[in-house]
Amino acid sequence: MMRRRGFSLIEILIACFLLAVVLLTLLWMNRHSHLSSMDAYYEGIAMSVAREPLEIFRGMGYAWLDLYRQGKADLTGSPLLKACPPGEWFDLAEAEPGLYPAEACDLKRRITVAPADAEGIKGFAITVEIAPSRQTRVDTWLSRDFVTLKSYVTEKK
Amino acid sequence: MRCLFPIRPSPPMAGRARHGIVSSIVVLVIVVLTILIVQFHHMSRQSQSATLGLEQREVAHQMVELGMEEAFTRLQRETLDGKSAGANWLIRREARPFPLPLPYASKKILDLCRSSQDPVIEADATIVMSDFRNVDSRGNKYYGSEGVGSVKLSVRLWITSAAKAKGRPPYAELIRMHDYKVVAVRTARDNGTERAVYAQNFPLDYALLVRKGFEEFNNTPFGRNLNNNQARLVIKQSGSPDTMGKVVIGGTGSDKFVFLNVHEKFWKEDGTGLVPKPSTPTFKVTFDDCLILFPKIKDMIDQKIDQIMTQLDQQSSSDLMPPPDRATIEQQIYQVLRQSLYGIFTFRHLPAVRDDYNGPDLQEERRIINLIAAREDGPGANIERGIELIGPDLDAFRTCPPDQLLEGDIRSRFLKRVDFHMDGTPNDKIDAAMIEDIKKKTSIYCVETTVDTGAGGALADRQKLVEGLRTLSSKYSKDFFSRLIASYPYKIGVTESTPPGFRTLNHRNLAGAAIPLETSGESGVQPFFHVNLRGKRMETSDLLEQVDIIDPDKGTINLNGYADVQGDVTIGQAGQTLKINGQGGIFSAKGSITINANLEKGSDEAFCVFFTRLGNITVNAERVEASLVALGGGTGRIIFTKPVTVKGAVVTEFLSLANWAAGQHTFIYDPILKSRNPSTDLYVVNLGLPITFQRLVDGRL
Repeated sequence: MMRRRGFSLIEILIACFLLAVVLLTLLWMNRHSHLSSMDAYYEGIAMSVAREPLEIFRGMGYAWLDLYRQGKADLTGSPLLKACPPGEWFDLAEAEPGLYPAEACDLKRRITVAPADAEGIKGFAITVEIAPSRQTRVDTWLSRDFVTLKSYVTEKK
Repeated sequence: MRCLFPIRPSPPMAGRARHGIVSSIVVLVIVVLTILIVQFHHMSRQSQSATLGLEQREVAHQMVELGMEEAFTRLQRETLDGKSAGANWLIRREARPFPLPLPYASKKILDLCRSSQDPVIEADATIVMSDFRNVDSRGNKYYGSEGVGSVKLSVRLWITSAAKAKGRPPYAELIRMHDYKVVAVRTARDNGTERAVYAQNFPLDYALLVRKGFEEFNNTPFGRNLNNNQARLVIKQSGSPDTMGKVVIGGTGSDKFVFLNVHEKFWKEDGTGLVPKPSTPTFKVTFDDCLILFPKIKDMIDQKIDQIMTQLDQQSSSDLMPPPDRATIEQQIYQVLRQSLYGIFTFRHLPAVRDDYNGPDLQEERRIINLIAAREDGPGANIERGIELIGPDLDAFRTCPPDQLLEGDIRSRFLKRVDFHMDGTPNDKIDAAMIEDIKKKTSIYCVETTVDTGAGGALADRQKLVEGLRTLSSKYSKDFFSRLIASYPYKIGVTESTPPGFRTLNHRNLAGAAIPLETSGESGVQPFFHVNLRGKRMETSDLLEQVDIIDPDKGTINLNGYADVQGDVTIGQAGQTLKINGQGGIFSAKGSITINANLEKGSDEAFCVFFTRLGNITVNAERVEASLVALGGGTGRIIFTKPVTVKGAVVTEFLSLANWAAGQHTFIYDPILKSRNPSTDLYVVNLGLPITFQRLVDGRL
């Protein structure tokens, strides 16, 4: 009688196990890569949104920042300034339409200005915090709770 | 053991082949899948790495921005003090980089970086030599070190101090360029010589400059721009020539003179005041000359002879003697009178204006002055008190040569008073009572209006007296009339011989050409004309507060160079006092300037110039420690609505004294405005806030 060739159960189980390990590894790698990519993507958006008020405020200068800190600055003149209320979270989805890309509208921003005088220099520390504003893809993919950027503006004459 | 679940039976050869194909496909799929996923993973890692890099660069960017904030602030602080090392570095345009310490940024960047990092930040500034311009758009050269250029600020950041120690290039470097301007706010001037170059701040050389002083003197009713009892002006100066400003009444010279009626406090009897002592205090004339002046004396003598003849007739008839010869008697009497009587002219130079004309003699003097002035018209009719160009006393002239204080044909006006009386020696051949009678009746003031004054007594005949005085003046080449004299320069120590006047120096126009002060137009005298050198320019006056030049909360005016406002400028409010810090000025390009607040210098070295070319300056304050310049457009005036004290320079087209508030106005020249040595020229540096160039280089590890 001719012996019929085949795989033993052990062989099949080992093969399945190895295949599973390989596939799971690939699956994990894929998911991790996806997470990293999306995290980097949204982090980049968050950094851009955080940098914006720093650039604006540096241009406005120390005296204006002092008013801003006290809530006395006029923010109505510019859509960008309207999106920068002092000390409170601002949902970028509430900004003027078209001001920010769609992905950024899932973020919220808080700007804090604090005195930072030292070494005979009068200055303000500006801290911008960015966080997801709601349960959306951003919240899913962004790994950090907050993206924070900080800068300083000093008094000039 | 046998397999309980054998693979489906198949032909031996065919089954082996199929098995091999499936395995190969599975393996291939897995390999491809693995490659794709690994690639995807690699890409995602790269993406993550790129994002992290961007974030790091962003943080590094913020760090160098912080460094730049401090670097600019430090350099700007240096420029706020014209004597600082940084300001001198810019003024001298030194090639070496100027280091800027960053203690603030070094401390604060630790908040921006990770705790494991050990960042180092440094900054310096460099002048961009090729950018510097020291001529205006027409090619006119600026004064001295004045000019416009660019300064490059460079901030470098190393993430670790070890990297810097190893000489590695900085991780990030931020380079920015800003414009800067150097402007001279005080430049050297020797009062005795002309400027060799045009300096836009030349008005500060003058305690008072009235460009159209002569024109105004002639056109204002009675020349009240210079002689005014209501609005009195006193210019106080003291110290040495190095600390005094000049006083110029423009338009004078070549017989175009102005006069100032001398007040009694500038009159010294010994001739050491502004009024010279007469060279011949008395002049004696003969009895015959007296007869020319007073023909009535002859009548008086004839009467006397008649009396004598009557007496002699009576005496001769009783003595049976022949009557005496009248001609002989007359000859004898005149001979005695010629020997006994003579005339004395007394010359005195007296002030044109006194505070108090009490007493009969002074009242008479005043009446004479009034009568003389009444015969004049125009400025000559004005016998009001002249402005005091050298202060309340003569000290300024005693410490400074007059021609280093005054320019132009400015003259003292005073009364030359000539008295006449007859005198005689006692003689027993003549009746003493008659001599006394003649002396009494011939005492006069020698003015052409003698009869009208009532002086001169009964023997005076107006027409004969005037004719007589003219005859004697011609005979002796001497002026025997009382007059108001305005032929002497406004200075002490002059004599009746040829009194020297004051020099009139030329000015310089933008192109550096020598021109008279009166030259107008763009090629004429134009102060503060280089608009390129103005530190700040704004449309309206209220912006002065926004840029902190005027700080109403602190009550300060903060200056560093010149700020230009296009429209009208209003400084402060009534009752307010503002302190002036720094050096510079506030200009109105097309409007007028109104000063409502009192202005005080915050320090000895502070000074401020208010300048308008086309408008006027109105001062509603009582104390202004600032210079006022309304010059260039041809119509500028400065009006004081209250008695004021100004400490600074006052320069205007017209003085308009007649429009000032009644009372005493005092101008005190501020010595800080004066410099004789070019090494003490004072420059200020304006560093522009706008960024003219920026380059950020980062990620160099």
